[in-house]
Amino acid sequence: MRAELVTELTVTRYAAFAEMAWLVRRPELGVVCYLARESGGTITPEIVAQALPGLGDVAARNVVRWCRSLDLCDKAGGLTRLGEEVAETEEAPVLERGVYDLWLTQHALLGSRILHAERLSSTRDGRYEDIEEPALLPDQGRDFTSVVDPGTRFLLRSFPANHRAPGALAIPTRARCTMTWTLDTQHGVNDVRLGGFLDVRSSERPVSAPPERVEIDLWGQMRQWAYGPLLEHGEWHSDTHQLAVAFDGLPEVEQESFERDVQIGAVDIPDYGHWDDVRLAGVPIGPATSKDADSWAMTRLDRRLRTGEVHRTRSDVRELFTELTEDTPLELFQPTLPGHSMLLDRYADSPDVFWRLAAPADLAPVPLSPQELAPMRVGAPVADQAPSITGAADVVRLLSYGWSMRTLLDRLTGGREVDRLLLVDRYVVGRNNLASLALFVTALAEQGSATVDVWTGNEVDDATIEEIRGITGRQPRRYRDVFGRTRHHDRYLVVVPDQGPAFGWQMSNSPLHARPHAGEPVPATPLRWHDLIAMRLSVEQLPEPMVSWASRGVA
Amino acid sequence: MTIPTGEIPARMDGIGRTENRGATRLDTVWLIRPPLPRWPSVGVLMPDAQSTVEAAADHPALVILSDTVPAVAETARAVIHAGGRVYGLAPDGWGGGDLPDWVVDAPSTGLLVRRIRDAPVAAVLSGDQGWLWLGPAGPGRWRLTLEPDQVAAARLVFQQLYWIHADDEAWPADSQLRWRARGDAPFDVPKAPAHAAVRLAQGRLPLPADATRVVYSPGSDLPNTQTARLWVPPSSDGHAQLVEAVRAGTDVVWADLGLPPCATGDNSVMVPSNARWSLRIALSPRQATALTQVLGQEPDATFRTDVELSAARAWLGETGHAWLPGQAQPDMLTDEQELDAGVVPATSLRDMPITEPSTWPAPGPLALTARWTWQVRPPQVPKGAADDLLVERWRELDTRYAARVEYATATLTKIEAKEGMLERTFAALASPLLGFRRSRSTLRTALAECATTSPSTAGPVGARALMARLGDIEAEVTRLVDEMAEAERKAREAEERKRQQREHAKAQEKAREALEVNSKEIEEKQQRLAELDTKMGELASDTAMSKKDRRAARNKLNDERNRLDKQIQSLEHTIERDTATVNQPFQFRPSVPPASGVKSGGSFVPPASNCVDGKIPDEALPAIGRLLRAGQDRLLAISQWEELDQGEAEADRLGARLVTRREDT
Repeated sequence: MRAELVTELTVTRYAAFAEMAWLVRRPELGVVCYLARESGGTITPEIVAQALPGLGDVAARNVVRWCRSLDLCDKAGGLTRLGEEVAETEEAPVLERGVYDLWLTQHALLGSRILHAERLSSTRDGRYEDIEEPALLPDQGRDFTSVVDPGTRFLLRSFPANHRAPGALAIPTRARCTMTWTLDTQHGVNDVRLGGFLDVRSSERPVSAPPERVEIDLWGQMRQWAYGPLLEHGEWHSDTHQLAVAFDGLPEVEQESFERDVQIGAVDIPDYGHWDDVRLAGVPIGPATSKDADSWAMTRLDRRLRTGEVHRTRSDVRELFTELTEDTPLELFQPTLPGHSMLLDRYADSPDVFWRLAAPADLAPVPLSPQELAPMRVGAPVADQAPSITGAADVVRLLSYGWSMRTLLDRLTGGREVDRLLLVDRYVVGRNNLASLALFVTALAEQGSATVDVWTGNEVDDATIEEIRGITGRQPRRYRDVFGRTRHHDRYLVVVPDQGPAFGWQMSNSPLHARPHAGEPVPATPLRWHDLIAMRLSVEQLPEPMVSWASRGVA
Repeated sequence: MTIPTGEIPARMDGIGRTENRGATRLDTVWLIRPPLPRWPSVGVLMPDAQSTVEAAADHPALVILSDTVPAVAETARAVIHAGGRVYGLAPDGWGGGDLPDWVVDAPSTGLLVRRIRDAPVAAVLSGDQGWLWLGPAGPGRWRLTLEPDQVAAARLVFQQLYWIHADDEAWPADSQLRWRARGDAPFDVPKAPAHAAVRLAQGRLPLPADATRVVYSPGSDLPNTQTARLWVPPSSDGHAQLVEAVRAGTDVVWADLGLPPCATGDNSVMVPSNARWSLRIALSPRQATALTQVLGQEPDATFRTDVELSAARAWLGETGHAWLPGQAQPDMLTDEQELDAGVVPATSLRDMPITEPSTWPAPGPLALTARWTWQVRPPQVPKGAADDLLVERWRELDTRYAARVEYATATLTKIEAKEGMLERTFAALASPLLGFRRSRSTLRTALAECATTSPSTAGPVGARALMARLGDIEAEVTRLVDEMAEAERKAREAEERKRQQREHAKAQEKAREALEVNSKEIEEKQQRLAELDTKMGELASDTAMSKKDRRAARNKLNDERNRLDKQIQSLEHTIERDTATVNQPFQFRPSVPPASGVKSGGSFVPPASNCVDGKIPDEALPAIGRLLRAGQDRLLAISQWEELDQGEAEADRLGARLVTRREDT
C-alpha cells in the first residue's frame, strides 16, 4: 500500500547581503577534523600539529582559532556537527560576504531552507530604498545543498546589517517546487522528494534532490486510513493487511495484481500537515468469500488458458492453477480446480482451448490417474490431499505433497544401489532447485550411489554450472553440447544400477521442484512437490545421447 | 516346277513350314491362372473394410482414416453420434474439398483431425479395444482385431504420429474445417520398447529372418531363410532367386490376397508398409492361426522350373498365363504361332517358287506349334538403273534418221512454195517449172516411205540400207534445189539488163540538154570578163578622177572579175562531166543478188550426219523386255511370266541378267 502526499511549495526569492560559507574541498581541514574526531572529538594545537607537521605552536593555535571561526568546533575545541561532516567529507566552509540571489521555501517536513544560492556582487549596490525585511528567513547554521546543483553546498552564517535587522531585495520568481511524500508499506519507503524547477539566470533548471526520510510510524498511519476512509471500499483485515473485496466487477488489473488504487480524500497528519485528494495506491486486496476466491482463481486460470496456443497437460493445468493461487490472497480460501471433465465443459464453446486441454490428457503417453483428473483444492492441509503415490511399477505418480526425496529415489531406483545416475533437467538453476539438487545428491549418497551427472539447459550460466559441479563433483553439460538442436520437453533420469540392465525415467516435471514446508530439509523430510509423472523406459526407448551415456558413461 | 502366268509380282508367298513344340522345356516360368473367388472369414483377421466396429463412446476414439476403409469413418461417426470424442489422423489433402457429412455434422468438440502423410494403416483404437485395416501398401481391406497389449502399443504409435509427425489440425466449425498449425506436444512421446507388439518404423522393415514357415511378400522382398511356402507376386525379375528357393523345397506361389507383408512361424508378424512407414505387428497365437489359414489357400499362380510346354498348358488350362523372365508381362500359351520369315530374295525369276529363307525366326517360348511364312522377292531392276548404251545409240540413230527425213520433206515443201512465186514472177520459167514439179512429187513419195520405218527396228543390216536410201533421196532434193536456183538466177539477170539499158539512155539525154545550156552561159561570162579588163585599163588612165575614187572603182571591178572567174571554172567542170556521159557506151553490171528462198548448191543439205555406217550398232535391241544398265551390269527387265523363256534367250544373247521391273520403272 502506498500513498503519495503531494504539496505545491511556495518559493521565495530575494537578493540579500549575507555572510555565506561555501563548502569546498579542504583536505588539510578534513585531516584535522578527522584526527580530532578519532582522538576524542576536540581540535587542539597538538592535533593540528599532528595533521600538519612542521607548524609551530603559535601557528597551530591560530589554526584552532580559525576552525572555531569556521564553526568546525566550539570555543573549547569540541567538534561541531559541521566539524563532524568535514571529518567525513573533507569539505570545509570557505567564508565570504557579498550580495547573493537566494531561493527559499518552507514546510513542516522541510523546515525553512535555502533551495539554491547564486553570487550577485561583492558589495552592496546602494539601492537602500528598495531593501525590505526578507519574507522568509532560512534556518541558520544548517548546511544546504543546492536542489539544482547537487555539488554545491553552503551555509548562511548571517545577514550583516547595521540596524541588526536583515534586509533583502525581493525578486519576482516563476520557480515551482513540488514536494511528494511517499508512504509505502510494502517496501518500507517513507521519504520526501522535491520536484519542479528554479529560474536561475533566465533559465529553468530542474529540481533534483535526493530523497529525505521522514521518521513516522508507517503502519500506524496506514491503520488510521484503513479503518477510516478505506472502509467504504471493503473490509480491512488487519491480520493479513488486505482489503477483502467482492469478485464481481473486479477489474482485470486488480485480479492479477491483488492491489487496488483508492481515493481517500482529505487527510491530516499530525505535525506534518493537511492534504487533499489523497490516493492510496496498491492497497492489498483479497477475496471476501470462498465463492469470490473460486471465481477469482478460475478467472485468472481462464485468462492464462486462453492466452497462447500451447497444449497443457493436466499436470500443467494443476501447476498453473497452483501458481495462480498459491502465495496469493486466494490461497487462504483454498480455491478448487475443477475436475478435468468439468474443466473441459467450461470450454465447450471454445474448441481451441478445449482441444488444447483435452488432447494432452486423452493422448498422454501415460494414461492419467483418477487422482490427476479429479478436482484439486489448493492450500488444503496434507491430510486432505489424495494419496500422492500411485501407479504401477513402471509409472510413478507424485502429486503435490508427501514424499521425501529419499522416498522418490527409492521408487525411481527400485531401492537398488546405483552405480551411475544421470539427471536430464533443463532448469537446474535457481537457489531452490540447487538446494533440491543437493538434497537429491545427499539422498543418493545415503543409498550408496556413486556418481551423479547432470545435463541442463543452455540458459544456465557458468556460475550455476560451477555450483552444480560443486554439488555433484562432476562437470555438468548443457543441452546443446549433448542434444544439438533436438529439443526435449520432459525430464529424464537414467539409472545404471550396480547389477542389472540400465533403465530410464521420463518425467513430466522436475524432481528438483521439491520444497520443504519449513526449515532445512534432509533426505527423509516430507516435501511439497509439483505434479510429477514418471514413466519407466528401457534403454532403447531413451534419446540416443542418454543411451550412449548409459552404455559408455558419456554422451 | 510350274511357272505361273500373268504379271510377275513384286512379292510372292513362299511355300511355308510348320513345327510342333509341345516338348519344349521352359527353364523358369510363373504359371498364372485366373483368380479364384476367395476372402475366407477367419475371425480376428477378416477382409472387411466396410463394417463399423464397436468402439466405446466413453473413451476417446483414436482413428486413422483412409479413403479405402470406409469402416473407420463410419465408426468415428458412431462414436461422435454417441457423444464421444474422436481424434483422427487423416491422409494428406483430406478435408480440402467437400467434407463428409459425418464431419459436417460433428460438434466442434467431437472431432479433432490432424493430417499426416502416408499413414501405414487405417485404425480404430478405443479403450482397450483396437482394430487395424491393412493392405499390401498401407491401409487395406484386411481388418485385424488387436489384443490388449497390441492396443496399448498401437496407442503409442498413434501418439507418435499425432504429436510428432502430423502436419496440421482442424476441428469442424460452421460445417467446415479450418486447418491450422498443430503446435508442439506438451511432453516427449517416447519410442516404443523393442518388445512392443506394435512398433512404428520409418522406411520399409524386412520380414523376420528366422523361424518362418510361410511368407507373404507383396512387395517382392524375398526372405533370407528357407520357408515352406513363399507368396510373392509373379514377375519377370528375380527368377534366379526363386529357382534357389524352389530347389530348397519352397513352394513359390502367389494370389493377390490384399495382405500386407506378413509371415507365419514362431514369430508371426504382419508388416504393413509404404514408402514412408512400416508398422511391425507381432501377432498373437490366434491371429497367427488365422493368418496361417489365409496363407494355406490354393494359390492362383505357381513358379515352376524346367517344365514342358504341354505340361504348362495342362496346369494353366485355356485361360491361364505364363510369365517368363525378361518379359514385360505374362502371356497366354499359343496353340499355333505364325512366324513371318520376312522377304527372301530369289536368285532368279525361274527359282522364285522354291526359294526358302536361309535363317528361321525363333518362335515364342510359349508357342505350342510354330508356323513360318515368308515372301519371295524376284530379282528386280535396282534403283538408279538406266537404259543401256545400246538402247541409247539406237535411239540416237533413229532420232537423226527421222530428223533428216523431216528436213528433206520440209525442203520439198519450200520448193513447192518457190515454184508458185517463180511462176508468177518469171513467165519464162513456166516450162522448166513443170519438170521441177514432177521431180518434187517423186521425192516426196520416197521420203514418206522412209518415214514409215526406223533404223532400230531394221537392225544393224537394215539400218545401213535405210540410211543409204535416205542419202540418195537427200541428193536428189539437193539437185532439184540447185536447178531451180539456176533457172531463177538467169531470169533475174535478163530483167536487170533491161533495166540498166533504160537508165543509161535516160542519163545521156539529160547530159545533152545540160551541155547546151551551160555552153551558152560560159560564153556570156567570158564576154563580161573581157569587158571588165577593158574598164580596168580605162580606169588606170583616167586622171580626172581623184585618186581615192579611182582606187574604189578599181576594187569594185576586181571583185566582180574574181567572181566571174570562179563561175566560169565551175561551168567548165559541169560541161566536161556531161560531155563524158553523152559519150559513154552502155555497159551491163550484174548487181542483182542471188535468188531468195531456197539456197542453191550445198547450202541446202543438212549438217553431215555422224551416223555413218560405222556408227550403226552392231547388236540389235532385245526383242522383248527392256535393256537396262546398272553399273557394270546389263539387265533385261520383263514383266510377264510368259516372257520368261524368250527373255532368258535374249538376256543370254545380250549378256544381260534377267530381272523383273520395279513398279517405278
